[in-house]
Formats: sequence, C-alpha cells, structure tokens
Amino acid sequence: MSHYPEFILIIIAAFAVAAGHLSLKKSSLLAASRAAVSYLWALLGVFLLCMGPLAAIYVLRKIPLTLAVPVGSLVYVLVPLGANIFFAEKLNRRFWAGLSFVLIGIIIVGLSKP
Amino acid sequence: MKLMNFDQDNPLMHIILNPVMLSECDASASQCKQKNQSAPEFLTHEPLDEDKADLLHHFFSCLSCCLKSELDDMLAANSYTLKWQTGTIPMNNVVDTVVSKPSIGETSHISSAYAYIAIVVILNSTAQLLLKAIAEYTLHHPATGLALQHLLNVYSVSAAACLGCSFLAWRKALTCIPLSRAHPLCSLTYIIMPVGACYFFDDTVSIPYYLGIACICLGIFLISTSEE
Repeated sequence: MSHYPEFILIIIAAFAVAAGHLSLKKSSLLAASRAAVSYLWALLGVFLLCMGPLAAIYVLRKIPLTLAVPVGSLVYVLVPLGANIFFAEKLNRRFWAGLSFVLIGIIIVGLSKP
Repeated sequence: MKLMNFDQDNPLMHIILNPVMLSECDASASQCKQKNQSAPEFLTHEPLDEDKADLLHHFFSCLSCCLKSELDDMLAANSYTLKWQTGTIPMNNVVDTVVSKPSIGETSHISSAYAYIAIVVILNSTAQLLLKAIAEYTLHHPATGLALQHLLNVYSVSAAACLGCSFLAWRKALTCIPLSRAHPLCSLTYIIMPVGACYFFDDTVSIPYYLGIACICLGIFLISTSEE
C-alpha cells in the first residue's frame, strides 16, 4: 500500500461518479417541471461521470489495474447512501450488510500481495 | 453534411488507425538508445498485435450492432430480441446476429436481457483494459501541445466506443429485467477483468485477492436486492 495518493484520488473519483449518478436522478426528477434546470443537472451529471475514466487513466499509470478497479465498486455503496441523504430513499439492514461486505472486500483486495 | 472519408489516405484516419505512429515510435526508441536505456517494450511493438486487433474487432462489431438495434427500435415500434444459441457460437458471432425479429407473441425478453448483460460485462472489462492501455500510452508518450495524440489514438477511441455501447446495452437490459437482478450480474466484471489484466498486462493476482472480489460481489448482491 505504498500508493496512498493514487488510492485517495480514485476514491475521490468514485465519489464524483456517484455524484454524477445522483445528478442524473435529480435531472430526471425535474424533467417534467423545469426543463432548463433539468438539462443543467444532466450536463453536470455527465461531466462528473466522465471524471471516473479520466482519473482512472491517471491512477493506472502508477498502480495495477487489478487494484484500481475494485475500488470503483464504492460507487455501488455511495449511490444508495446519496439517495438516502438527498432523495430520502429508505435503506434497510440488508443494505448495511452489503455495504460492510463491499468495504471489507476492498480492504482485502488492497492488502492482498500479488 | 458530407461524412468523413474513411480511406487510408485521410490523415485523421491515419492517426486513429496507428496509435503508435511509426516515425514517432522510432524517434522515441532512438532517444532511449542515446540515453543508454533500453527502449520500453511498448515502443518496439507493432502498432497493433493480433490479440489487440481481435479485441478491437469484438467491440466495433458490438458498436455497430448496438447502434443498429437502436436505429431499428426507433424506426419500428416492434422490439427486437437477441437469439443466443447457448454457448455454441463465439461472442463476436453473437453480436453480429443480435438483431433478429421475434415472431409475434414470443417472450424471449428475459434471455435477451441476460445476453445484453453479458455484452455489458464484456464491454466494461474491455473498457477497463483499454484505460490501462491508455495509461501506459500516456506514460511512454508525454503530451505535447493539444494532446491530440492522447485523444485520438486507437485505445481512447475504442474505450469511448466501449463505454458508449455498454451504456446502450445496459439500457436495453434494464427494459427487460429489474435493476436488482441486473446489478449483481454486472459485478461479474470484477471477475473477468483480472483475467484480462493478467493476460495483457502481466498483473498477478493471489487467492486473497479473489476472496476480496468475492466479498465485493456478495456485497453488491446484498445492496441491489435490499429494495425488495
């Protein structure tokens, strides 16, 4: 784990991608009532989604693909969490169990010596 | 508007088709020689070896197939489904024959959704591998000027095509089956991608690594079925 800056960058990118998904959701909610604002949210969403691959290209120059990609599965955790915070979608125990499994998996992958 | 002329003489196509342009490649290699370094293996390779050419063939056929099916959907109200003769034909044949019109009342939507998910998984894994290829390319070819060589090389264009196609196929799949069933299957990417990484980029994976991947897949399964 000598690549802390790269890992932190790819975690930030995962947050950006999750924010992109949430922006698209916001855009789809506004589509009926306020078309112009919805369009702006969609643009923001696409921009944030593009951050993922760009950050990945930068990070992959330093760390192997097999370590970088599993960190991207944070998105599966962050999107429901964000939906809970911003759109008041409910989370249940099953989600929290899944969240802990994903986090444990990422830690195991990060620590596994090739 | 006149479309681009897709012949070999077109300079743009020349750039796209030859990611490591030969002159550039020679120059970088000779620079390395001057500094008494051995040239990176990446530079001394032919622009496209056969494996990568196969890979490219795969997803350009996927691209054409997805675009065709989107177009067909727009033109006709009927939905078209994929007839996948299980396991007997290789994937690039499958994507070539994706579009076939179902007889009226046929309900093969579910199986077609799984075929689309298979396409999504393969395209996503390919896109990850291509991102790694772009990363290696940028490492060996520092950007000059507008960095067009980074945007217009074969890996970047293919990665963009892959991601675009996987998005279209993902949308198609979700019209047939719920998200809670589609998401866990998509985590198959995390199992296929390391295999490709080991084959193309000499990564190594260990048993604890696959243990971690299994945890992640289980977690994704739990998360995506938690709505029920």
